[in-house]
Amino acid sequence: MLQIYNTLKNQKETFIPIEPGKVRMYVCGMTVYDYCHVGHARVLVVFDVIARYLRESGYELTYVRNITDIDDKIINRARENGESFGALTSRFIEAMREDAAALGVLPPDMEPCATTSMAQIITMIEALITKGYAYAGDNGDVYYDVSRFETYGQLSGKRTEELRAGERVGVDSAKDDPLDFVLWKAAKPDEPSWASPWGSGRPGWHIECSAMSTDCLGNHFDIHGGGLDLQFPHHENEIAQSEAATGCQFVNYWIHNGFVQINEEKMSKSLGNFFTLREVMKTYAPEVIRYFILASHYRSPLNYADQNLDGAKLALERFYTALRGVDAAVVSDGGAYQARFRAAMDDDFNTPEALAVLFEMTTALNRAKAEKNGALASALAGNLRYLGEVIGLLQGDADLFLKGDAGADGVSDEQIETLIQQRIDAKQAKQWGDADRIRDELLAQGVIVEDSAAGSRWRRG
Amino acid sequence: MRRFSAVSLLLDVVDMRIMASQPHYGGYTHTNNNQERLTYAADLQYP
Repeated sequence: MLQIYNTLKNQKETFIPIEPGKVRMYVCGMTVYDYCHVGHARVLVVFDVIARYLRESGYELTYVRNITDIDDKIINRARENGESFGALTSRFIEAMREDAAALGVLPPDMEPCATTSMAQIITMIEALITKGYAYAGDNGDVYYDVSRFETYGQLSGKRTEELRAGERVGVDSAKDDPLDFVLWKAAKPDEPSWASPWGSGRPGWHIECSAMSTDCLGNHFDIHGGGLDLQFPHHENEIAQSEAATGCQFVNYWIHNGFVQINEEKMSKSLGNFFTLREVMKTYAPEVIRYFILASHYRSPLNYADQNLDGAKLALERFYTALRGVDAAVVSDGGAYQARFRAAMDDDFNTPEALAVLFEMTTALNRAKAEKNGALASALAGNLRYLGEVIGLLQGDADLFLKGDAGADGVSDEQIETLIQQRIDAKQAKQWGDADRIRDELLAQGVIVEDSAAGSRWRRG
Repeated sequence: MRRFSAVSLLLDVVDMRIMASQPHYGGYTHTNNNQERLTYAADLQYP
């Protein structure tokens, strides 16, 4: 039975879907004003693996990941660039989809945008006002009245009296209470706005997700996910809005992935240790980044450091070296390995433990190859590929992965092939010194030549 | 090639088991206290 750590209850729980055999999951997606960074990559990959595993487990999953395409940061960035907010967001939505695809992240079933969900947002705000949970301020904004929602703080464990005493909550004179948060912002000059019963304006961030999630998945659904930084206030406010508007429980299981640190420090623009995914992908293959993310449990901090990425690359090289040259078409029931892999994933999506099982399979595969047991090697390789797909790894061509990219200054594939042929010719002419010299030349350029009965193969080290 | 030996694969298994046992928020050896987790969250400055 699948166990999920539910941050609403602070404990692992057996997953029981609302509707047998079906799962409805919503994940807070990107605010599209810049390229995705490593923190975004973690959210994309973690919930992609959760979605893949739910489907692999036989559930009919509806996965919704929204796009926030209007907010202050978007408006400010578009203004800085001298372009429309729509041009900016269209560009970064496309970039996000490219980055996600590169990481092997499958598209969600639905990808609603805030700007195309205005009717649903306005309907929910109207419901909140009608039920007495929201009010219009004298500045034209509409606010949520936190004091009316008795269970506020259930997700974050925060108590309203402590929040009121805190310094982080700014006082806005239009609010009845400093804890109240904005649902609808009155239009400011030169800002995009939409018509509403309270005048032109745009939605607050929190109400967007409440409206989009319930519109796509219904008032009560199974799983809501996102980064741990969203647990408060964003997800806390989502619960307050949705449950007040609909009168029923919003979500059964809340899943939050941990943070990304850079060299054991928090990642922030002010510290200058901020990497976009595209920058990282110039050095490391996307699959290496995906492996690096999955080698940590999703609730552990993920420490971004070059040595950890290098380690991820080596680990994938070991997998692909074992897979190279083996027919992986046969998938048997997988026996004990598959059972242990599933047990690891059933334990709150424990991907490092699942990877440990895949390494054990790789050891057995290497042994089968050494013993020239082709049938066993083929069955193990088939299962390795099959289980790899469940977490979105090991689907590439082994030879291509191991050969890697030449890089800006590296020796090209064609140059390597030419040198390899020269070495073969030298060996056939029994010019062993020349053959060794060519091998050493290639090694000096990071190309490893491996000789076997089947001939010479190479890979970039 | 040491790194492709059975020993290195065994080390990979050990590495992954160590990763699996690393402190997680909300479980195992790490804090199960929401307030501590959120204080950390609030200090992060994801743009």
